[in-house]
Amino acid sequence: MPRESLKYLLIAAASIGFVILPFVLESNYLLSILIIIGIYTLVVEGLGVLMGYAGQVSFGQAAFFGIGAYAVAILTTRYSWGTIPAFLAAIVLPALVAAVIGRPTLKLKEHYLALATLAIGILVHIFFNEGGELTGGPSGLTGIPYLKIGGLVFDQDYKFYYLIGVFVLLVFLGVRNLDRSRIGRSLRAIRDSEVAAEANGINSAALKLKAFVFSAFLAGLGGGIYAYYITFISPAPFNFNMSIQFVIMAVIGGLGTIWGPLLGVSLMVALGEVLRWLVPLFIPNAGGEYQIIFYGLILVLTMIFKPEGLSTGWRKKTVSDSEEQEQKKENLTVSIRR
Amino acid sequence: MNILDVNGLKVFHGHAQALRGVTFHARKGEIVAVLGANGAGKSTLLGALSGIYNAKAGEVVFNGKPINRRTSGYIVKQGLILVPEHRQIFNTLTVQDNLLLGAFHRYNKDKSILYEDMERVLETFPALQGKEQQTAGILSGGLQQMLAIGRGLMANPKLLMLDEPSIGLAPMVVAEIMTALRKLREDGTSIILVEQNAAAAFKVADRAIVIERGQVVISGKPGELVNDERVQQAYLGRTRDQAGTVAMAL
Ligand SMILES: Nc1ncnc2c1ncn2[C@@H]1O[C@H](COP(=O)(O)OP(=O)(O)OP(=O)(O)O)[C@@H](O)[C@H]1O
Ligand SMILES: [Mg+2]
Repeated sequence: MPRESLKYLLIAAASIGFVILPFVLESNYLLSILIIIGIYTLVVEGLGVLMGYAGQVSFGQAAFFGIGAYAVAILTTRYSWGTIPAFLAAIVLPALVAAVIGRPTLKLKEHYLALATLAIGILVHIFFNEGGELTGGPSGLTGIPYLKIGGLVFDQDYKFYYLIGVFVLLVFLGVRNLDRSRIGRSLRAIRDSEVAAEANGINSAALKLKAFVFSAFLAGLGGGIYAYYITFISPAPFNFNMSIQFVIMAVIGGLGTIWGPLLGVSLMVALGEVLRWLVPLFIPNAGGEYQIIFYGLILVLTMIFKPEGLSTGWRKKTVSDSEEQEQKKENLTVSIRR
Repeated sequence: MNILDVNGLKVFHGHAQALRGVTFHARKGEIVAVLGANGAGKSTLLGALSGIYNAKAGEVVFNGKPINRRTSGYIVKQGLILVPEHRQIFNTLTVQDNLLLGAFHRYNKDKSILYEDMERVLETFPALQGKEQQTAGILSGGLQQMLAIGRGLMANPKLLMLDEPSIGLAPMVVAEIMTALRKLREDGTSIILVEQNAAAAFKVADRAIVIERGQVVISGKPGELVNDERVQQAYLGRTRDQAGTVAMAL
C-alpha cells in the first residue's frame, strides 16, 4: 500500500476511534483524564511554538492558564457575564498580559523573558491567593455555570471531550500551517541565527512577541475550558510547579513538532496518575512534591537519550544523519576555537 | 559618488567603547577592504551600519539617506545588506529557504521574481546547484559561506558588507568567493569586505581602511598600504618577511 493512503487510513481510524471512545469507555475517570490531557495539550502547543520556534522559554504558562480560568470564574460568578463573553475574556486577557510583559523584555537580546515570566507567574499566584472577595483567596471560587454555546449546554464529560477534541484539532492545524508559513520559517531562522535574521531585515523582537502572545492565548483558552469543566477553581493548580510541568511536557514531547505536545502531556499526565497511586504505597505521608522529582528525572533522561524529544526521529539512522553529526561536531570545534 | 558616508561613529557594548569615532566612505561600485586585528571593532562597525547595534554618536548616510537610528528592517530595504561573521546560515532550514529568507523584505512581491533571483544566485555559486532542498546545516563550510553570501544577494543589495567570508576556508574556496565578489562589483554592487586574510582582500579591493581599537588609523589603495609600516604592524604580522609575501602575492 502506498504511504500516502496508509496515512489517510490511519487518520481515518484515529478519527473513528476518537469519536466512539466515550461510548466504549466504562469509566468516567478515564474520560476525565483524556479531557485534562486535551486541555494541557492546548497550553503546551503554545509553549512549544514559543520554545521550539522562537527559542524563548516561559516559566509562567500556569499563570496565563490561571488568568484564563479565573477570568471565567470571576466574570461569571461575580459579574454575571454570559458564558461566551467570559470565555472570550479568558482568551484575550492572558494575551494582553503577555503583550505588556513581552514588549519590553523581548527587545532585550538575552533570556529576560524567562525571568519576567517567572516573576509574573509568582505574582499572579500571589494575587489568586490574596485577592480576597474577588478571587476567593486560597479556597477559590465555586459555582461556575456550565458553558452554553447556542442551545448546547456543556454539562457532561463526553461533551467536553468532543469540544476539546475540536479545539485541539484546530490548534494542530494552526501550528501545522504556521510551520509552513513565512512566519514559521522566519521564527526558525531567528532560532538558528538571530544576527543573520536581523541582518536580513527580520524583526526578531516583533516575531518573538507574536509567538509569546500566541502561547498566552492558548494557555488562556485552556484555562477557560478548564474552569468550565471543573466548575470550581482554587490557586493551587496554577502555581510555579505547574509552569515547570508545562515546560517539561513541551521538552519531552519534542519542540517544534505538532504531535510532541500531545505525547509529552499524555506521558506526564499518565505518570502523574500512576505516581499518585504508587507513591503512597511506599511513602505513606508523601505529598505531591514527590512527583516533581520523577518529572525532573524524566526530563534528565530525555535530555540525555533523546534531546530532540520523544515524538521525532525514531527512523533508522541514515548517511546524512551521521554527516549531520559530523558537521555539528565540526561546527562545535570551530566555535570553541573562536 | 559615495554610496556610504560614515562620520564619527561611536558604539558601546555596555560600558566598553568598541568604536571611537569611525569616519570613512565607500564609493559606488568599489570594493573597500576593512582590515584590523582581533577585537579592533570591525564586526561592531558592520553591525552598527546595519542597525543591529545602536550608535551613541555619529552620522551614517547611505545612498543619500541618513540611516543611523533606523531599524535593520529599514536599512535592509534601502539595500545595505550584511553577510554576518561566522556565516550564521539558518542551519535547520533548507538551502532554498535560506535564500528565500534573504529576500524577506520583498516577500509580498511576485514569487516568480524571487525564484528568478534565486536562479541567478545559483549561477553565481554553481556549487550550490542541485542542493536546494538540502538542510543548510549539513553543507561544508565553503558551501555555507556561499549560501550566506547568496542569502545576502537575495536581498538585492546596493552595498553588500561581508564579515570575514574567507575564515576557515581552503584557498581554492577563498579564490572562488573572491572571484564572485569581483563579478558582483562588475554588475554594479558596491562591497565592503572585512577580512583577516589580507592577501586575499588586497587582491580584490579598490581601497582599504585599517581599524585599530575602534578607529580608522589609515586608508588608501592596497598597493600603498601593503608597504606601510603601520599596516604590517597591525595586520600583516610583525615581520617584514610576511609583508613581503603579501606584496609578492599581489
Ligand atoms: N556583543 C558584545 N558585547 C560586549 N562586547 C563586545 C560585543 N561584541 C564585541 N565586543 C567587544 O568589542 C570589541 C570589538 O569587537 P568586534 O567583534 O567588533 O571586533 P572584530 O574586529 O570584529 O574582531 P574579530 O576579528 O575577532 O572578529 C572587542 O573588544 C569585543 O570584545
Ligand atoms: Mg569580527
